[in-house]
Amino acid sequence: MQTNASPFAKLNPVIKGSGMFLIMFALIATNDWVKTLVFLSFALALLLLSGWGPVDFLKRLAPYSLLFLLTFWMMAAFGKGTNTLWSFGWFHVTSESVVHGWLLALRMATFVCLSFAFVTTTDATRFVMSLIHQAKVSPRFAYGFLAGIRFLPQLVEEVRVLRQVRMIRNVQSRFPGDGFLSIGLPLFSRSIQRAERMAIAIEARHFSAERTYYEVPVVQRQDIVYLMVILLFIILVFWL
Amino acid sequence: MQHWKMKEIMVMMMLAVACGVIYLGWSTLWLPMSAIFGPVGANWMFGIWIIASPLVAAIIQKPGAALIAEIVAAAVELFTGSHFGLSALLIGVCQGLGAELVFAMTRYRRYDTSTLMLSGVGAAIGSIVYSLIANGFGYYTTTTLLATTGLQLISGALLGGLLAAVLVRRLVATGVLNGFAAGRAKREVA
Repeated sequence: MQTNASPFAKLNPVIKGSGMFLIMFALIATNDWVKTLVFLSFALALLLLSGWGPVDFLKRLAPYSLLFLLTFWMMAAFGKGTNTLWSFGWFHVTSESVVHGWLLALRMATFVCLSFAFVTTTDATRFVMSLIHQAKVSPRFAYGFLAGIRFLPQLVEEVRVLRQVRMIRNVQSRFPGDGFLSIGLPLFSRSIQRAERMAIAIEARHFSAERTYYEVPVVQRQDIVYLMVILLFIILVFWL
Repeated sequence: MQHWKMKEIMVMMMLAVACGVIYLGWSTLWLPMSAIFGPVGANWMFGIWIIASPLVAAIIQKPGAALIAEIVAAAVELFTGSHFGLSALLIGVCQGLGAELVFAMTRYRRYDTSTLMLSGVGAAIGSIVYSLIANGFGYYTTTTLLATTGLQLISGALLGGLLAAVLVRRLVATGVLNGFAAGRAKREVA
C-alpha cells in the first residue's frame, strides 16, 4: 500500500474506505447487471482520479480479463437454470446462468477496481492513524498492528526460505496441511518470540493510550463532498 | 479491550500477519488445484484461510481474539496492495465472526480440540453466508452449492480447527508460549 499525488490520495483514508464499502454494499444489494455496469464505470472513474494513466489500465487490469472469464464460466457452467443453451459433460449452460455469470463477473471486476483505487492511493501509516482518530480504534491495537505489518517483507522472506528448505531436503507432504505445520511451526514460534521482545521494548518506552500525535488526520470538506457524491450516486442508480 | 497485555496484543498481531502471509502463498495454489480438483473440489483447501482465528484464540484465550486475528490476517492482503484487499476484508470479518461466536458460546472458557474444530466450522458458515450474499452462491445448482458447503465445513474443521490445535500443542511443547494462556493451561489444549 502506498500513496501518490492524485486527488484521491488526499482524502481521509477511513472516509475513503467507508465510501468504497458503501458502493460494495450497494453492489451486493443489486441483482441487475445494468446497475452493476454503471457501478463499474464509476469505479473506473475513481481509478482515473487515483492518477491512473492508460498504461496502468492496460498493464494492471489485463490479467483480470482471465479472472473475469473464469468467474463468468464458473457460474455459467455450474449455475442453475432451465433454458438450456449448451450442455457438455458436467457443464450445463443455461440462459439464466449466463446472465448470473455476467452479473457476478461484473461485480468481481468492480470490487477489484475499487480495491485498486484504495491501495494505490493510501499510505499504510496514515491509514492506521486515521483508524485511531476517525474510527476510534484503540491506539494500543492500532500501533500493535502497525508494528506487526512492518514485518511483512521479513515474514514473506522467511516463508520463502522455509519452503526452499523443504524443497532441497525433498520433504513430501504426508497429509494435507503437513506443509503448513512444518513451515508454520518455526515461523510462528519465531514470531511469538519476536512479538514478546517488541512488547517489552514498547512498554519500556512507556507506551500508553494517552499520548500525543505527530500528525492527526482530520476530516475535511473534500471528504464530506466525496461521501455525498457516493451516496447521491447510489441513490440515483437505485432510483433509475 | 483494556485488559489485554501489550505482549498479548503483539503476539496476536504478529501471528495474524504471519497467517496472512501464509494465506497469500496458499492462494497461489488455488488455480493449479482447481485445475486438478475442479472449482468445486478445490474447496478442500478452504480451512487454511481461516486458521488465524482458532490459532490465535487458543493462544490468547480472550474475547475478540478470533475476530481481530482473522480481520488482521485479511488486512495483510490489503497492505500488500492486493486487488482483492477490500473484499478480502469483508469476508475476513464474516469468517472471524463465525469463529468468534463459537468461542462466545463456551463463554471463552473452552479451547480444546473439539472447540477449535467447531470454531473452524463457524468460520466456514460465516464464509458461506458471505458467499451466498455477495458471490451469488445461491445461483449455483443445488448439487454444486451443497458440495461446496460440505467441503468448506469439513475443511474448516480439519485444516482450520484441528490443524490449529496440533500447531498450538507443538508450540506449547517448544516453550515459547509459557507466558501465555495456552502455555499455562497445557492440559486444556491437549
